[in-house]
Amino acid sequence: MTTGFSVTVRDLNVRYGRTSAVQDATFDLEPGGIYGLLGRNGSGKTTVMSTIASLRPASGGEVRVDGEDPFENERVMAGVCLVREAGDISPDIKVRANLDYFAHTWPTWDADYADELVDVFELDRKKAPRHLSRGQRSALGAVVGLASGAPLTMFDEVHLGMDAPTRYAFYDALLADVIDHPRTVILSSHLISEVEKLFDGVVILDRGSVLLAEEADRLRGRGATFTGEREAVDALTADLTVLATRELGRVREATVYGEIDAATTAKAHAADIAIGAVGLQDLFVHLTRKEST
Amino acid sequence: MIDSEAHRAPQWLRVTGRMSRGLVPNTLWFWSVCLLLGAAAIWILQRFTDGPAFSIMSLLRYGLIWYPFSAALILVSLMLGIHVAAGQTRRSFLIASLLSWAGYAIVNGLLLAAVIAIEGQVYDDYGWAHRSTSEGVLPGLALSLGAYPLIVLAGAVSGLLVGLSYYRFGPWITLALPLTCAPAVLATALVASPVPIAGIAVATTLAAGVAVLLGRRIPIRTTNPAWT
Repeated sequence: MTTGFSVTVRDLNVRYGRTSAVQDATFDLEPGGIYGLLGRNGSGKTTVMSTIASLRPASGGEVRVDGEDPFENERVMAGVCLVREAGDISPDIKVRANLDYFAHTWPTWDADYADELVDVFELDRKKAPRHLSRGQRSALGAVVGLASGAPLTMFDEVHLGMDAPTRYAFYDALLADVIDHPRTVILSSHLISEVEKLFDGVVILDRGSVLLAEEADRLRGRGATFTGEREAVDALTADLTVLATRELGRVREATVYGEIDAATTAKAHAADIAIGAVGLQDLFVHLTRKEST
Repeated sequence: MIDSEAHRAPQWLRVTGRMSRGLVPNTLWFWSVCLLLGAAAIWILQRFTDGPAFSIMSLLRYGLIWYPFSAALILVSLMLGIHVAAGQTRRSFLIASLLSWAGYAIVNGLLLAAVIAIEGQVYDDYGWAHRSTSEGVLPGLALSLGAYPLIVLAGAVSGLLVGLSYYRFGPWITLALPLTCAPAVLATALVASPVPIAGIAVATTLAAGVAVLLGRRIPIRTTNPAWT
């Protein structure tokens, strides 16, 4: 049974002419599991995924998928599916014909599952993608990615245009499919609060560089909020990495990044400071905001 | 369902099969329409004039150069990105394109030679001169069997090269059109005046080589041109 492809990226550089889109990116993804590739607009997410999917060659550094260079590698490419916002489908032939085409391209394509998903997302098989709404086209992309069964499947902003019920239907289908057919999934999305519970690991890109690459649970444990009297919070967080603060009257909330040890926790309790968890989205916002200022 | 049986064949062979099958309806439509219109034109000229002054069917040579040219160009624009994004190599796209267009050229070139030969027989029966519009002399059947598939292939390979160069470099490559279109232009010149067939063969081979060099590491665009 396949467990998915591993991904190793070492000092990856990708340039578009004179513009550097990715600089010295390094991270590893173990086979199996769902990984979030997060970053602000223009951070290089699509470029990194396109390089992993062999859509463009790297300008420097190294990419390994399942232990091999994916570029023009027939075995590896046949096991990698990238669903792009651009929509790599034929706009003028019917949905049914598009799916038939993909049945001939991926050796792991599951036609029955594709058919089932078309019904789940309520897509009209007789319509050409050009005549579908933006959300329906995204749903068709989701169908392609899920039914491809590719050991490495990447979804780049696949949620765009989808309404909330469709997005949640996609998340449910993705989770169920990964449980039934373990593989590696990379999900890029700006709706972090919706998808963060799916993630086993997270890579955050900022301006073309890897800001951090960690297991999701570990990353969540790296953030905390301290809420209490302004002076007490300031004293407690003086030696910590404060990402952001908010104030209401004399009450201050400080969002900190880093491991919170037992001594700090004890001090907080003693000073009547409440400790709260930080969502991945908040951490992401704070981390990328800090880097951009 | 996993279509593993079908995927045992090499990727380039599977893609060649798909592309070639895609060209069959075009071939059928082309010949259905052209034979019908050609026969109608000959009948009208025979009925209302002293007979055609030149070979009607030989005009198809232009169509069989520039139709494959445009179709190969469009195929790159519409399908290259989809092909690679669907987990297939550029290599298989290039090999399949060249092989399927070669097959198309052989079939259509030989059909053209046969149709013109048959037309010549009809002209002889009516006592009309069977000649080309310009140089006056049509190549004999033996020469046609080699020359006509070559001119069709020249058009297709030229279209493939133009498509790849625009995909890779954008509008600036318009400046290189005299080079990228050379095989098709030479093939067209052969129709109008005697151009050494070897010259077309060399230009077509060079164009195919450049197309392969250009396409083997071509970056796939972020936006799919098919949507524009």
